Amino acid sequence: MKKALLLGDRVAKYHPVNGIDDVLRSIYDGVFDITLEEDYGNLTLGQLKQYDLVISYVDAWSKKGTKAAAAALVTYVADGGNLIAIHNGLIMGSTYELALLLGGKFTGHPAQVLIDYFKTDVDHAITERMEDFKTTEEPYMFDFDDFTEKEVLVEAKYGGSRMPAVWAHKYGWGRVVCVTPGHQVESFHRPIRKILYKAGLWCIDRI
Amino acid sequence: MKKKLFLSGDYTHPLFHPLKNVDQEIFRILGEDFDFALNTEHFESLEDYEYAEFDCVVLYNDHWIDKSPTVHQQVQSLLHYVAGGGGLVVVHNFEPGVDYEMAQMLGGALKKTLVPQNHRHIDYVPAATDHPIMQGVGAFSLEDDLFDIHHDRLTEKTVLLNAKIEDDVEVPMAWAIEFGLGRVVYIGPGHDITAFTNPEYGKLLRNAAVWAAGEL
Repeated sequence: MKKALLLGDRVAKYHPVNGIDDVLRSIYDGVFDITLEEDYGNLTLGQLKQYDLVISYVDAWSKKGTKAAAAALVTYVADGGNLIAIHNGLIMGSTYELALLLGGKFTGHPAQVLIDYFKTDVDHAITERMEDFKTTEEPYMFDFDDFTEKEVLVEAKYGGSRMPAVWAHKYGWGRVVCVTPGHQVESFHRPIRKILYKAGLWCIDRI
Repeated sequence: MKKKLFLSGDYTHPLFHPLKNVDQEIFRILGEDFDFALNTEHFESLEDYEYAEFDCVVLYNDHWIDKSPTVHQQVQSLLHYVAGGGGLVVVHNFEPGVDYEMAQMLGGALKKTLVPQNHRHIDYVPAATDHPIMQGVGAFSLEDDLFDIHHDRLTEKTVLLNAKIEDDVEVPMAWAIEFGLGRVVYIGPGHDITAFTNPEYGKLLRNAAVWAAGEL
């Protein structure tokens, strides 16, 4: 059994990890043993190295995040660690080093709305045999980094244009997957569960 | 006690910028503050724990691209070294930016690589005059390369020096970055030994290395 560290907040302004942790444990049942870490501002490289995967569902990075924790995450992934950032977990890109690691900086989102999600023509293990789907979600928007060699796997159609909704890339010796849907427990429909499951397997080189 | 410095550049097969002779000027400029603990062009396999022995790493490599397939190890090593608190000064040759993670950390990349750059007379004008690196550094002029650089918009950099290319057009040509717990400086001028013998350039390089090593 591999080990995953889930970063999140039991008590949160917008996105408490309560319930989400159970969803993630069911998705990764038999693959990852998941430990919750709320004190993510004090992350160290030594602590992170004990895990095969870090899952970010942080809600209070602006209050609890630190430069030292960002440095530890960057180093952890560069050294060969893996990171999956889900929905609000992507807001830690407000620390610019993590925006570089994630491939973009979250800029905001309009209200929840029914969104069409499309598989792109990128051939990738994470979205193999994935079918397009629609769900009510917050359309997360980003200022994307020009340099990140990311593969956009899923796009969200919003306001007449399509924008990246799931992307994956390698960073140093490690791997990063960003998944924008995931606002609440109800967001984790079957297509998103499958994407997250396969993303976890891709990170540890099982698919 | 002097700090420990690692200098790397190309002696045997440079593209356009041999370290030979330039190294003597770098020794002169940085010798009071640093011991040159390692001076090699064979850096491809250096591990992060080996970099960790140095207070500052100065790269003058213009052969990075050819070595790139084998130097991907350097992406991990240098990200680890700098994010963990190391100091990195990249002088003139911006080729390490061909690896995208390095481009992000260095603040950008050359728009064109492996080609001779626009060599011309350039007036360099201090920008962030309140930054520790710019203390005592005045304007200067050189015959040097004017690089066309694609800047990373998300990297938070402090521009130290602008190149004045027309009366009212200036472009960043040296900057400082705090990346994780470490520090990075890019210094654009430095095409050949002429730059390194310029007193203002010497002050800039010395301050940059000392700042990157966490001392200013």
